[in-house]
Order: sequence, then structure tokens, then C-alpha cells
Amino acid sequence: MEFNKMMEREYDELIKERLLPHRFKLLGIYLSIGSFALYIVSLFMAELPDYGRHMISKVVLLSMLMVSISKEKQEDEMSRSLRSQSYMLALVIGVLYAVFQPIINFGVAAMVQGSEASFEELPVFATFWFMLFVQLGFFHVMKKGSA
Amino acid sequence: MKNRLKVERAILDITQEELAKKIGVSRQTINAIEKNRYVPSTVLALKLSAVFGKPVNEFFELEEGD
Repeated sequence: MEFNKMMEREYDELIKERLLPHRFKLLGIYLSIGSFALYIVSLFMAELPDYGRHMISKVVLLSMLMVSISKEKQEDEMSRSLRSQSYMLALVIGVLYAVFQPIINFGVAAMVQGSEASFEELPVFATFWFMLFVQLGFFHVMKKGSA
Repeated sequence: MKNRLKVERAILDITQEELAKKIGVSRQTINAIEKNRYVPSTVLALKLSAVFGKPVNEFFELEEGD
């Protein structure tokens, strides 16, 4: 019995308590919306140095990650299960996106530009942003679907 | 897996919210279990069993294909 309690406590510390408190979710949502809007604006600001845009993109990713790893208002076994499923879906869809999107981009560029088209891999920001977006989207939809 | 959670809850005359509070989960989780969208863990099933005062197999039942 004592051993079981110890295992349960270990599990709590390892899994449950690794998530950020719920208040970070709200903070992350506000930060990600704000920083993403700033990122879009920065794309039209020619005078902004490259490092400025890179810093903004990192804030976008970190704030989305903050939302992703924050507890729900009422964190329970179903929310943990749905979160796991959404991470799996995001990984699979994200890898497929990272593999096939550059091929599609190249195909379209080849049709428009002909032999001048060059093959370019997706930037890290686009790949991680897409994966986090898919994870948060699926988690939200599955949670609403269960409600 | 079929379940009689809604019936058992009605017998005790408690809402989803009240049952959720008793076993420490969200109302959405109780709703998802009742609608067969989520199969609870053994721990949660045993907590439900303690609330209803019945063995787990009286309100959870395997279906063909399970």
C-alpha cells in the first residue's frame, strides 16, 4: 500500500505537476495573439532588422508553447488524455507538412517561374508554429466535442 | 463500452456538476463518459463505484467488439 502511494506521488510529481498553472494559459493566449499580430506587422516593416523579426517569432512560439503546456481550469484524466492525443496528431500532421509543403511550394514555383524555381525547406518557425497551431486546435476541438 | 451512469446519477438525484465535484473531475468528463465518448480509467471507475455504492460492473458493461 505504501509502495502504491509512493508510485502515485511519483506520477503526480512527474506528470501532473510538470504542467504550468492555469493562469499561464490565459497569459499565453494574450501573448501569442499580440506577438503574432506584431509578427505580421513586422513583415511589412522593411526598416526592421532581421533579428527583430526573429525575436518576435520566438515570442510567438514560446507563448503558444505556454498555452500548450498549461493546465486546464479543471485538469483531470480526460484533459490529459485529450492533450496526449492532440500532441500525437500534431506530430504526425506536422511531419507530413514539413515533408510535403516544400514539394508543393516547389511544384507551384516551377509552374510559375520554370527552371528558375528553387527548392526551399520550411523555416523552423513555420514548422513549429504549424505544429503548435494544430495541437492547440485539435485539443480545443476535442475538448468541445466531449463537452 | 456501455454504461448506466446517467441512470445511477438520477437514482442519487445529483447533477453532472455535483458528481464531477465528488470524484474530482470536470463536468465535461462526466458528460463525455455518459455519452460513451470517453472510457474512464480504473481509478475513476472505482471512485464512481464508491459514490454509487455498487460494483463497477453494475454500471459499466462490455459491448461486442470490446
